[in-house]
Amino acid sequence: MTPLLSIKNLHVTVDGNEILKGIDLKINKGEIHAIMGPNGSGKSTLSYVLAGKDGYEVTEGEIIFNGKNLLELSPEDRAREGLFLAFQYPVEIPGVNNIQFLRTALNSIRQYKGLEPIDASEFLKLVKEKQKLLDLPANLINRSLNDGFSGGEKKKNEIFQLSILNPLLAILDETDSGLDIDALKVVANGVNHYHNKENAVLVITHYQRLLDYIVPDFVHILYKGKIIKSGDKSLALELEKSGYDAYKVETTN
Amino acid sequence: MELTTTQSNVFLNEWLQQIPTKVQHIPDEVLVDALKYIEEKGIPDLKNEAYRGVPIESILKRYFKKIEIASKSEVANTKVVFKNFIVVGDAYNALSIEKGIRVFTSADNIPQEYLNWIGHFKLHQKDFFAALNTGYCDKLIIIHITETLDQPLHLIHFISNQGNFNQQRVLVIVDEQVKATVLESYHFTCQQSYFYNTLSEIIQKEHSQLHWINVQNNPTNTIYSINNVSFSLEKSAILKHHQISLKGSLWRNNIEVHIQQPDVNTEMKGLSIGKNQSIISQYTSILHHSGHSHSHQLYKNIADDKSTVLFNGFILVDKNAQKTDAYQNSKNILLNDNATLFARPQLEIYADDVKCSHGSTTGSLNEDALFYLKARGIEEKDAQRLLLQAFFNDVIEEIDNANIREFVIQQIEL
Repeated sequence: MTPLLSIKNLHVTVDGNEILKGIDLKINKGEIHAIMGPNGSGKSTLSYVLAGKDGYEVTEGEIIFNGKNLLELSPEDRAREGLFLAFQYPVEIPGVNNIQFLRTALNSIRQYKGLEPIDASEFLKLVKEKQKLLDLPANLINRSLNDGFSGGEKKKNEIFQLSILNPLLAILDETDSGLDIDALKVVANGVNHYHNKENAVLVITHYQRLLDYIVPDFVHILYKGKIIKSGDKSLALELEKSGYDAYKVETTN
Repeated sequence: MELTTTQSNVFLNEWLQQIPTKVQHIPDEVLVDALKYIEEKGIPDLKNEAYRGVPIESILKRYFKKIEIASKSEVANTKVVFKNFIVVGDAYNALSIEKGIRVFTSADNIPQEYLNWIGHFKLHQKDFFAALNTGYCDKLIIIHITETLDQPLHLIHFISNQGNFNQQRVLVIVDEQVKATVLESYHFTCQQSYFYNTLSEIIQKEHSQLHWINVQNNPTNTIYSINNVSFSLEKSAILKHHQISLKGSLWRNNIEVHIQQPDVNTEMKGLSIGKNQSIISQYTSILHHSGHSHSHQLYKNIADDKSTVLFNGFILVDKNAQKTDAYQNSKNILLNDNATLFARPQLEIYADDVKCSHGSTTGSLNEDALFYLKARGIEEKDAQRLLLQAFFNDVIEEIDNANIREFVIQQIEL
């Protein structure tokens, strides 16, 4: 089977500093992967490189997503190919209506796939269904995009967008940060609802906590720009007990 | 230096000889003052601070050395948006008005009570083009609104594909207690460069409420417009003004508001979007001559391509205008490194018990917001459009009349 995402020997520099120093990762449809690592290990860099943010220079390596050379695609085309990044810090955009934005995004993706724009009533139905799933009040989702949302509401809104846009790969960049346990459960429930054997999830996190609710098939430890160890979900639990220090030693050897 | 001055005068004299004087209605005293101002001050040159960024002298020399005034043309292809309309420009004065509006043109026998207002606020002693309009304007229209209007009044500037020079003058009087909405728009079919010099004097009587929306858009980019406007507000009058300036070679607006009596409320909003090589220059003056009044200004400016967008906001609070509350804010977005933005607040406050504040911000579109939208599959251009709409939405949404708001939205191209 061709993997949905295949990263080979990825080297990335930011402002002249090498942050990622040779990442290899394969994600197949139906899988949930978790990347764990301490602060500064390159977790967010990886998510931004995948989404196509400016200022991240790939000096070596390749990324193939759904059979396409991802690095040749603009951020919008990556999204239209089915890549979704749930931002660690969702941007507040006053004046841009949340729902209107989402409809523009959905139709833009549909147009790329050669589909007609979504019917208004069908869209409303979809919004209502997902809004319930994410426990988002109607007045909130009808406001300006993330404008004045609490930390938890912003993260829920990311997963709300995920469930409406229904991409092939969802990258969750520290979606658990700043969430209380109730919100964490709602967010996890949203992700589990979205996940099926036709898509994949990449969870990027600092803590094991989220992985109790979104159970990964594979766990990778990212340290100083390299994946130093991969394993199944037990690796996350081990890591929680021993801390990152135990693994840092392994790399120096 | 002396040589330059002489050359300028030579140009001005030759230039003026091409403009026939047509209006007989300007009061003698006003006319004399205007002609004197023209002779003394001459065309604003590069050193003229008020015309900073607007190289008007070189524009005139380059495109309008030869002036051609069109003979009257028929109005054609003008979209009539509202039932009440008056057409000004080089066309016949086509009009359709309901009761509550009285109209007089230069051809009519105009009652003296109206003529007394002409030049009353001495725009012709402050600006060269106001003086030029006063001395040589082609046509004068007087609009007297005597009753509250159900429908907006649409003032249409119509210029056909003939000639290259026209001057219009409008006097509007809004009676006591009367409420009215006026939409002013421009319909230019000319393919060549055209100089359009307008002057409007608007008198608002006590307790009147006026919403004036001026929508300047010339998709052929042939118009060079200088527009002098003065509003005069009597006790408890309310003025809401929208200045929307879009495509065109030059849109220069001198907008002056005289707060003559207490308890006046003015709300000035503006949106300028410079594209191609357009020059848009908004020059506002809010003159608090009387106290206990409120003025609020919000101007949103966007400069793209090689355009120049300038905002100069002057607020004067006279010594006896106590308890004045004046606020001014301009927000500016630069979309292209080749474009120019310039915003300058100017406050002169002589009273001691007032609330006055101003602010101005200039920047480019928020890169993080742009990336966020693109990361959701939205095309760069659409993402930019969404952010720009969000940027000026608070100006547009203040246009209460839904038809006019829609008219404005349709004109905006991002």
